Amino acid sequence: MAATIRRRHGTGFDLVMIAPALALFGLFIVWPAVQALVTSLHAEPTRGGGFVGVANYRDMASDPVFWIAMKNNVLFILCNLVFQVGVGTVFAALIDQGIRRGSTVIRTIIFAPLVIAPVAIGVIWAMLLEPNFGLVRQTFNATGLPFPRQGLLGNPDLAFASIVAVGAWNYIGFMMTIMLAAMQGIPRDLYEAARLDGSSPLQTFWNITLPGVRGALILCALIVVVGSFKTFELVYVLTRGGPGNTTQVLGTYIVEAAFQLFRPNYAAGMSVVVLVVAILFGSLQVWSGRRA
Amino acid sequence: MADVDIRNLSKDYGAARVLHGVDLSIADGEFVALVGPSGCGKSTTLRMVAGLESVSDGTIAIGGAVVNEVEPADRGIAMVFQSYALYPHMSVAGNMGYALKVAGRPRDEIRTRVAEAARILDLEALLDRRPADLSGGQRQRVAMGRAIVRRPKVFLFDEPLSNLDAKLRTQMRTEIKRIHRQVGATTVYVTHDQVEAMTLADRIVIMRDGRLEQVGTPEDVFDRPASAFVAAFIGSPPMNLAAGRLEAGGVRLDGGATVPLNLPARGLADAVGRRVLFGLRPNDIAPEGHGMDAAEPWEIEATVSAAEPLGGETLVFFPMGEGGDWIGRMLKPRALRLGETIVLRFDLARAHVFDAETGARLGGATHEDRTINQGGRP
Repeated sequence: MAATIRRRHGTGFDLVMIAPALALFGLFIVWPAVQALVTSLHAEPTRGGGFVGVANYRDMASDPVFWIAMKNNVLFILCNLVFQVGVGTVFAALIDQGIRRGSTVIRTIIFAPLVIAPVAIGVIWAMLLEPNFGLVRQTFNATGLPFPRQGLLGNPDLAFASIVAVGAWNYIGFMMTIMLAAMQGIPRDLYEAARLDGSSPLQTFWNITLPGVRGALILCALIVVVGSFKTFELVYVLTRGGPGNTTQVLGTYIVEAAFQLFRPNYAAGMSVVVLVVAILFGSLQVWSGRRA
Repeated sequence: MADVDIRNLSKDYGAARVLHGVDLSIADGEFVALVGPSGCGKSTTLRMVAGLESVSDGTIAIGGAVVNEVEPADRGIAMVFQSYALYPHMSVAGNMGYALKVAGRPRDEIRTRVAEAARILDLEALLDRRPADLSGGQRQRVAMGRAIVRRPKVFLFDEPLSNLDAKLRTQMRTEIKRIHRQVGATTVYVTHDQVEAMTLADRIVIMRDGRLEQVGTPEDVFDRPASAFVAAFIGSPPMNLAAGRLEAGGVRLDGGATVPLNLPARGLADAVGRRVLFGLRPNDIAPEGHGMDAAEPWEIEATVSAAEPLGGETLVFFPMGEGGDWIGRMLKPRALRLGETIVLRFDLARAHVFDAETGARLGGATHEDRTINQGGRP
């Protein structure tokens, strides 16, 4: 059918068909990216706005907050890989193999947070973790457990972990769903053969399940890597990068630089860095998808 | 090696009982095939022996020890699945050696035993390949290799040839038979293909609706089927059956002729007046001069309603009684016209009579008849 249409209409027809998508992509993705790149090569408007080449990128290299944000991004990726992909995979395996009753209810409960927008998630958790009257504080008080005076999000040692925990709560369901779908694609008789071979549940998970979901695992990992590198809403709503830059990530620092420090060209430079890294990981995702 | 003793084995899924007190003894080294239509309980029985399904009632003993609560891996069995169930990311050697690896056996031992099985199955050149790189027949051999490596007391096969084409299936049948002779392990083989069962097994167990219908050697179930169901299930084409009533001179077929049978000689003197199914295999119906040496010949003029030339022989379809067409065989084929009248000779010495109501064999009782619908032991 497709071949017949192409024969009848030729390449021109193909171009017409993809033109709307190309136009939108060009207008909303490529053009802003080019604008950001061009902007990043110019001085701030307050300093005349002239062409400065890679000066903004040189500034980045010597900006300690940029490196804190970069380090937090990397840390965020690692934590999310463990807590979202890792725990999501374990949950998926438990539901796939171990839980016979109520697995649909459990799946729904775990998946539910994903349908809420990250900003709303942030607002909900900001209220729950509010240091004076939040539900978590009240629960700690009621049970007599110690609770940090400035709350979890105000404590420099606990704020980052709190954001990771909220992120995990938000996305574990998504990762679990992808992994569960992949696991349910593994033929059941492989598990029966493994049982006959004397494979323990842990050996079966390691030797049969994980290799069987390798493609989905890579996909989840790449989604987490790209998503974590671009993360913004959750951190912005919960801590705005604080206290004292301890939870600063590139997303929040870009906004801070652009709208609070009034350095839009510097912020554009950081956006380009995020874009390049995202494109690299995105390409990896497409490449691994093709290989799978 | 070990014997397998199944006693009063039942299986319930919720309120539904799918296996009804099956009794079956399989001798050490014996090759037994479980056959029957879909849903008859043959695979369920096999999976219960394997330990992949729980036992609702009754016992399964392997080598004299009851294994109802024993883990599948500790039963001394190995199973070959219909889908082969090969681990797709492991090499052939990895698949074959996996059981030994998880059991913590030394690498040298794993390598030796895998090599030994590979030699038996002619898989030596394929040990480094993945299952995806193998043909259906090669995958089947790897699945058998995985079973052999474990040196089980009992081999279980669950329709292992169903996914192969007809030619390969014939080759693999020979292969399985050779391996059974070589390894000598007790084998339980599930199939819905009666040709596989007939060619491979020492004994055939025919199942129907969760019960044993007949247990016997291939010759027993073919020549002395215990019921009309077995008669119709075993044999290709199946046995011709027509309903009728026993009379003093033989069987009066519904809407047709009276087939002369010596009822007293068949032990049917007391059954006169009973509704029966009269049966004769296509092999026992042929035109005169077509190589059939009839001990008790009876001839009819038959009208050809269809003919199926098979090369070396032609199947001749003709109306008989009210139950539709019967099939006879021409061993020296010639062109037949539809509607042509030919004389066919029946060998009534090989005729079968079954009770029309219960389907049980009447007269000429075999030692297996008592298994019908009782789940009885052979």
